[in-house]
Amino acid sequence: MEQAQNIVTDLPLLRTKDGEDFDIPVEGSLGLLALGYVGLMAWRQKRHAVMQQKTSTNPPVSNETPR
Amino acid sequence: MKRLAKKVLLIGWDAADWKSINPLLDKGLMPNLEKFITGGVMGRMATLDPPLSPTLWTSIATGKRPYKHGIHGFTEPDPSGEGIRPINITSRKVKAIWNILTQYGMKTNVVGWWPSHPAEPVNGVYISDFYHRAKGPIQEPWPMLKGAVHPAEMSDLFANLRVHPEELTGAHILPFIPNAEKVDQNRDRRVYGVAKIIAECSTIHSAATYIMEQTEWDFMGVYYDAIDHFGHGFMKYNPPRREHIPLTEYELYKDVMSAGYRYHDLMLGRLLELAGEDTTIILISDHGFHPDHNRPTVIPTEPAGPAVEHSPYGIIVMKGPGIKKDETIFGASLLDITPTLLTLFGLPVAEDMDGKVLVNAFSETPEIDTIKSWENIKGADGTHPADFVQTKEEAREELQQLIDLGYVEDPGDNVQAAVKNTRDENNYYLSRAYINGGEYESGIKLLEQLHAENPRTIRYATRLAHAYQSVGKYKEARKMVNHVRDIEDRETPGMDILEGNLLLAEQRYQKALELFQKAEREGGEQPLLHLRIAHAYLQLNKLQDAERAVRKELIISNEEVNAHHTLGVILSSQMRYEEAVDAFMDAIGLMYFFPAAHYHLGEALLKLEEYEKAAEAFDVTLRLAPGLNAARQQLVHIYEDHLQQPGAALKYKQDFQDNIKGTLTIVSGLPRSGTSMMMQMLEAAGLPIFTDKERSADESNPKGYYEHEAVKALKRNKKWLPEANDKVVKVIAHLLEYLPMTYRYQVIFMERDVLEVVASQQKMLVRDGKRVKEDVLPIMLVEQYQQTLAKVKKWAAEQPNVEILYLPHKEVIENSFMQAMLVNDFLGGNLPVEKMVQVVDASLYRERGETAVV
Repeated sequence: MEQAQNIVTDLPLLRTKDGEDFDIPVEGSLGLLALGYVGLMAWRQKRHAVMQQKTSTNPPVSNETPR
Repeated sequence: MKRLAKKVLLIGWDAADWKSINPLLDKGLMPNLEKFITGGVMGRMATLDPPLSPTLWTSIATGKRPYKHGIHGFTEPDPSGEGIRPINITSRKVKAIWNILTQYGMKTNVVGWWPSHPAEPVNGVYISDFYHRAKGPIQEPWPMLKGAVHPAEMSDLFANLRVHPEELTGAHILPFIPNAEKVDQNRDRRVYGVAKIIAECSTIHSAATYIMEQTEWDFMGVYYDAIDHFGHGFMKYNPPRREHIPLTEYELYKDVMSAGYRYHDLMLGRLLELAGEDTTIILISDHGFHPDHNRPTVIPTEPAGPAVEHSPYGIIVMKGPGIKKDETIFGASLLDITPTLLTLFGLPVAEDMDGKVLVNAFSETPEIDTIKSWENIKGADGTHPADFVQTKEEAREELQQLIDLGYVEDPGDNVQAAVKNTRDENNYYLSRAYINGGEYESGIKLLEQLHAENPRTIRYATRLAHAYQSVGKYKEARKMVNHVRDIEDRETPGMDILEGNLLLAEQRYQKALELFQKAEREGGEQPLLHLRIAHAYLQLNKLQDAERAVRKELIISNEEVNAHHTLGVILSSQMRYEEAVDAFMDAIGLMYFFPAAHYHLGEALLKLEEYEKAAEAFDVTLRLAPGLNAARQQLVHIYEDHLQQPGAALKYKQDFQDNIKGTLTIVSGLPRSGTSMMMQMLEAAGLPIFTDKERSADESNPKGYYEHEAVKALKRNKKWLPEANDKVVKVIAHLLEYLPMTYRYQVIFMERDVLEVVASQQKMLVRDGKRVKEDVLPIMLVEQYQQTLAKVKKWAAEQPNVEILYLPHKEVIENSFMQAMLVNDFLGGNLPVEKMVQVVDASLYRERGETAVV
């Protein structure tokens, strides 16, 4: 599993043909999948990051009665 | 041998077809493929029968036909005996290219090849075809099957590179189904089906790109099955819409196929980028997929029924150092891939491989070395050890997982029936593979077994009827056709076509035509039906009708090679040679490896007095069919009589003699001219006779006919000739011209007064109970026979491989000894003449000239 983690952390940055940073869409794209493992991992990273951001800005609602 | 390629990337796109690709290329929608083609060579790749992907991809990887490599179908009996499973790599009996390369220490990667499970321990990374299948909801565990990855320690890494269908979003699905939101997914699972195919091929692509980028490699083979899966699910919705396809479904799913191809183009772009300019890249498909009006409207309800959607030509594109640029190659077969790969790596091609090196793809003709076989070369080759077996528990566990994955149906309680059905099915495919490879005897034997065990299975009986017909066993074929008619509960156009084909082979052309026309009336347009009608008309010498029929066939399918060729033959028969040349060129453009088309093109050019072009056509014929002495004879004629190049003619004359395979003694003449008597004399002399004794002696020929059923079909079937080598064969005068030039013939031709011949035939027909007027001489027949005799004399004088001895029938009876002496001299002088004479029975000379009825 360690190797699998490395793939994610060692990923190169995706750039456009003009050398610009590529803004990875959270919903993914066929183009990203066509890039192969690099595109897949970058997309998953993006999803993960967005998910974490959502979780931190909107903490889960607790069912417990406020004290 | 010099290694020509630094690295080779072999990409498989199952079922990719130029007919689908070309319109997308024209619109600029597959730019990566366009660039790839421009930088290399492209062509069509002929498939094999049966067109089943596991068998075909194994032939691609081994260069061998299925009866050599052992992979025959989609499933096989599970070794545990408890069910069936998808075909396993352990059933492959020979080495694949990656095993040979492993033996030579080359770094070899394989991804997703079909079949390839359990992963073989090659010198590299190997991902099996059980790796990428998705199952269940995304929240549930998705364990990877044991043995899916070699080396096993990389399993976790590759498990993480898999794409689950539920990961996908509208961004992935909408290019395929733009109105996906209109689909009620509780009732229609096709949107999920598309997502599953996208996810699975993305999984393969993800693993392949990782291996290409992160490992050192010499050879990389990666196989994508998605185009085939999209095809079986959605080609029916591909534009143009056909009447039986509901408009709403058409509107929803009409873009799936083009989106599938475009997605593959995107993936191809990445592979090309990762491979780099110094890698030789080959893109292939195992068969095509009908995208047009040839799409079947009904899929047979049999295990491999969907294969009817496949078309016989796949694609090949090849690019790299030493490969030609922007050219079309012809004559490629999927059997040629492994021999070509071996040549690229500087390794010898095995003589037991069935393919050839695609030399016409190379800028310079490559050096090709051969060895007898790779199978006996010892060393670590990355195959599983001979004692590799799964335990019963492992097999059961694997089977259960495959059932869960939806790979195989749960055999339920009737496991034994499932196992038997699978075994029968695979034997059926094996029989077809034998027949496709020209191994008729083995194919027929298997089909006979299957038919004996399953007499009511129509496809076994139908295939057996075809096979019998192919080897000239018309009686057996007839029996089988009648059997099919008995077990079918209704008459179908298919049955009429089956019988019509047999009638064509039996040379009963009018009856064949009537059945084909009935099939057309009752079954409507069917592939190849008009071509069959054209063949019947051609044989009946109704050339205009034949031309009309074949042109109808070409409207249905302009890519039908045989239709173009047949049109050429029809036009030549009408002496419209310029048009015939065009038709033959069209056939050759579609399929270069077509010796008959080149030969007939040469004949037409000869008639047009285009001698150099004709010589070129005959020369190509010989390159494709080196044993065809008829083409050599034409070249001798052109170089001697027209181009005044005796030196060139001499070379072909010598080659002609070198290509003679044997000698047959032929006894010939018009029917009832004493041929059976001569056969009897030669038998008495101790010469071996080629006869099946099918036709028994009767009042007309009390000592027997000495015939062979196969010989009667000489015009269509010449496969029996090797068996008849060094034997005496009876061939009637009308068929002599169909004897191939690859044998030497010593012909003893019995000459009898034509009036006597006809009178004798009339009497024979009367004796057989046929309705003929014994006292009326059919003058037309007499004239026809006289023409036949003149034709035989011309033919015999022109053939360099024919010696002929004309013997007067009357003399043989009245001066037997002298005539037997002549025969003895003709055949080499060692025959016991006295024994030959003893069998001559003058009492059988019943219709003498003076008594012949006029």
